[in-house]
Amino acid sequence: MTLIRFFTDSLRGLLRGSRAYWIWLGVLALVFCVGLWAYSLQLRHGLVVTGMSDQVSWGFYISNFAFLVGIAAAAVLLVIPAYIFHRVDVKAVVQIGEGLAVAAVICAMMFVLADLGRPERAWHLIPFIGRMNWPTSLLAWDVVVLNGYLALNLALPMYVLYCRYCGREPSLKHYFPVVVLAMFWAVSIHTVTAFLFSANSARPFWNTALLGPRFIASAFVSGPALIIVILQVIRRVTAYPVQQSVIDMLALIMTVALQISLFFIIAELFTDFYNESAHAGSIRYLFFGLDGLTGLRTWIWSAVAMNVVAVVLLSVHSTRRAPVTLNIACALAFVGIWIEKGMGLVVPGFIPTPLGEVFEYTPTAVELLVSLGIWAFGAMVFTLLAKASIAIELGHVRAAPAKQPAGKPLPGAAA
Amino acid sequence: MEQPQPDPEKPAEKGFDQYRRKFMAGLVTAGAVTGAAATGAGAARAAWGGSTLQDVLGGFFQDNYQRMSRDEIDSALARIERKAQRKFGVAIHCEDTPPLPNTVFGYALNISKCQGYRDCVDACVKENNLGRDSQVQYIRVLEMAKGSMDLEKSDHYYDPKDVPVDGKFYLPVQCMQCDDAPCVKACPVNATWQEPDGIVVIDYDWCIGCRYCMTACPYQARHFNWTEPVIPAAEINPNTNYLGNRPRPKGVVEKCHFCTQRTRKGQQPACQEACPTGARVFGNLLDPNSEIRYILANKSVFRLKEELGTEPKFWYYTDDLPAQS
Amino acid sequence: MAWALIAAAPAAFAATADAAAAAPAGAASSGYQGPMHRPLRENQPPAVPQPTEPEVFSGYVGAPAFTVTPRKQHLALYPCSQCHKVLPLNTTPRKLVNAPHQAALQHGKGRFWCLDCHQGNDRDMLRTVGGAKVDFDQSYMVCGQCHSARQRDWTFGAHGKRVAGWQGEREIYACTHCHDPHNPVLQPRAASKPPPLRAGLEPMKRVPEPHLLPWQRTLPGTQNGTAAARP
Repeated sequence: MTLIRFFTDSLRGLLRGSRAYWIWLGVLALVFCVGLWAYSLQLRHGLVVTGMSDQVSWGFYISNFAFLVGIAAAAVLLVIPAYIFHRVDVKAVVQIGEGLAVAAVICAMMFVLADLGRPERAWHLIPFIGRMNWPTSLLAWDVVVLNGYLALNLALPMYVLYCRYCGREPSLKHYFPVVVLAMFWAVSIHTVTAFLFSANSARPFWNTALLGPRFIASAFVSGPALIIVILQVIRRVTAYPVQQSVIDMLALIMTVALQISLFFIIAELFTDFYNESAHAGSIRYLFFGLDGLTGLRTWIWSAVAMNVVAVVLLSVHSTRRAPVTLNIACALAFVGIWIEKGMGLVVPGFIPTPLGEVFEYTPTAVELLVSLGIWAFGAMVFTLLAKASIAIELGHVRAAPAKQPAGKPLPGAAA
Repeated sequence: MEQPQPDPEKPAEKGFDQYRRKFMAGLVTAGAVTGAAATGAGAARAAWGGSTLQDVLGGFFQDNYQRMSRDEIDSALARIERKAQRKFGVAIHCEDTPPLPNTVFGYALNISKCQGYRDCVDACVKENNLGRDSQVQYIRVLEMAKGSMDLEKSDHYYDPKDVPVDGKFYLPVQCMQCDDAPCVKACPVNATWQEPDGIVVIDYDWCIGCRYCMTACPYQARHFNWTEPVIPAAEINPNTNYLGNRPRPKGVVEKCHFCTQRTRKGQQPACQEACPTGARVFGNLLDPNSEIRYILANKSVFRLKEELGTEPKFWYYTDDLPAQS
Repeated sequence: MAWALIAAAPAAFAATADAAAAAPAGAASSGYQGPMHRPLRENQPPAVPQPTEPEVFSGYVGAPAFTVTPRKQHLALYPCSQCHKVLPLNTTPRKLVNAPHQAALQHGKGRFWCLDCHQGNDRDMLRTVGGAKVDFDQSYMVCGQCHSARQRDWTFGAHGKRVAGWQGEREIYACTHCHDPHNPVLQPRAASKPPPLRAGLEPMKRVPEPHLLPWQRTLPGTQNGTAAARP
């Protein structure tokens, strides 16, 4: 069947690569194996090998989970211009975005799995076979929407790439409804993840209506930051056509999103500190320390500094357009959002505890190694998906390699 | 392993549930047959952390308590007893004590009387087979400064020479068995729910350890087994029940359950028994002549964080004297 | 007439108040005399003597049935008549010498002494202030004379300790099970250890901010929060 040959040919395409490609995959595989070993320690001894406690019961794993769901949601920033606004330059790279979404969602779900106390009981989450508390539990919602998003972002590019593999144009009539669904679904995965936190009236730091908008805004900063860097790498190491206009568009989206994101932070700071109640304990701990404990203070202020520098670099047209400053801004914004939305959001929700105890959290080496391993796995998944889709898009992988591809040539592609 | 019979007291199963039950039973049988062939039939060899393969598979495929048939519950109880025998060398007895009819439990605690001894904490640890080295203590006594109800200024780790300390009062906190519990809503797999007698229980064999319920609880009442609980064999309480104090594995959440193994048989919870000052009052809220109803009608009572709308069933009261003598 | 006297009282007080508080010259006079205290009872002798039957205690209405854990088996020297059969009766309130039991009462600060609760001519019984005899196993009838509100709470379950189960007839501890009637103040005792931390974690080095109460805070421009030094 052509479908089977599609997969086998794609796999063979993955095995053809430069030295840099194999070294990159090799390093990632090594880091992943170290992560697996660290996880085996966790399986053997229990979550006591992490730095979490009854007081701070979610830590580094869930921080990365929240951040990665944002990265996954940001793929919609390529889908909308490509399919709704018919931007041909963006349409050329939309598969990359969807590949990133797949990798990010897989990564996010792996972080949740790593955080479970009884991972072998994860089958309890399967509807009907297990017992899923849907629609009441936000975590059940998250499982549903993330898996749905994974399916959508696998199905859509696979359809398009399979059509190209067979040498025909994908039928807009068939995939456009899926695109529209994927657009709304992308926003919903991050909204559900925000609601997961904001639903808890026991945690005043999260129990704000602004958390959903904050998540979307910061996702639209960190996602494009990563995509911009990835697109530049792809432009350099492959013959894939990446127009500068795509990067300009993403940089502009990132600028506005970062401005909005910083405005949201100012709004939170004002609301909590103008008439400071006990509900502001968490944000006081985060920014100023509480009872002499200042564990996250340096983290958050460096994140603020990074974001401010990034927003300045991005807001000025000349620095946004120059590649060096753009990349610096992307790196700063990515790390800044990772700190502020990861450890800077999840951990202060637990400090002080609902009974007023101030107990800090520091991730242990095991947590860091497992997390690195999962990030490496995500990078591997993305590399392989991107390589396969680029190979197909460029015409290197075809059902009938002797014939000319029947589809229109890509704009700017080498014939 | 025979097909488990459906429980006649449970509502008739819809079609899919029957298929799922047969499917799961088939998996366990297939696994057990393979396991028996691999390890030698009937040999209870210590493997997989001290369980036979059959018990491991049976435990893995075990269903949620609320869906199990009587037979399945009985096999689960037998598995728990065998596992405790292997792990601690102690023969425990595990029951499935049903809730009493026309009963909704409530608790009242007199903060004028509590002296901060923490006798309740110790009794709970022993009665409920809590890990001795782990962090899990269902009851936490807060030392508060007189003149303020600010929990943020409380001391959880007070350790004076004697209690009570001048100028302080003591506020023990444990699971409030909320009628509108945020933890019940949060659990993604329905591993925790409220029973008809008002107690919020956990199925420790169904919990996946995601700890979302712990973030949802406003009273810090839920605790996680970060490591395998360690209980000295000589101190194990052998009278256990499934939804209560049976030995728990690592990686699951647990909390106060008003001593279901005791209260569902008419006994007082361990904390009430142990309190030397009689500050703790436990009873049936549906009985208009109960002590707790008298307290709610005649004393100045309050509940913690009542504004969150959780409807806790744990009240605090003081020695305000009633108007009429 | 009595009410008129009472109503006039605040006016009399007002007349002695600072003249500056009176209405300024030229303003219309107001009928307001100042805050009025409404007495809870008539403080006048009754016009006619009001003999009524004395109120007698016969238990609390609506109280659930209860049994009290017996005390006699815990009393080391009971029955007291063993010795007091032959000892002479001395009704002078004093400190006892050579008694194998309490020598001086640490209860009531001198307002009463032994024979106010113990029956002088029948030491195996207690007595009420009115002279009625009370068995040792119903000693709560003696305590309840002064601590009546506490006795009400104890009868209904808001005070004291219930033993056996939570349902059915209540079995409760007697007052003297917890409170030594001759020295009832509870002494502080040691508490159990503080809660443990999760394995592998260190305690936090918290430096809690001191919570200053108004009399501990220093108001600007004053010394130690008092207004005395305010210019």
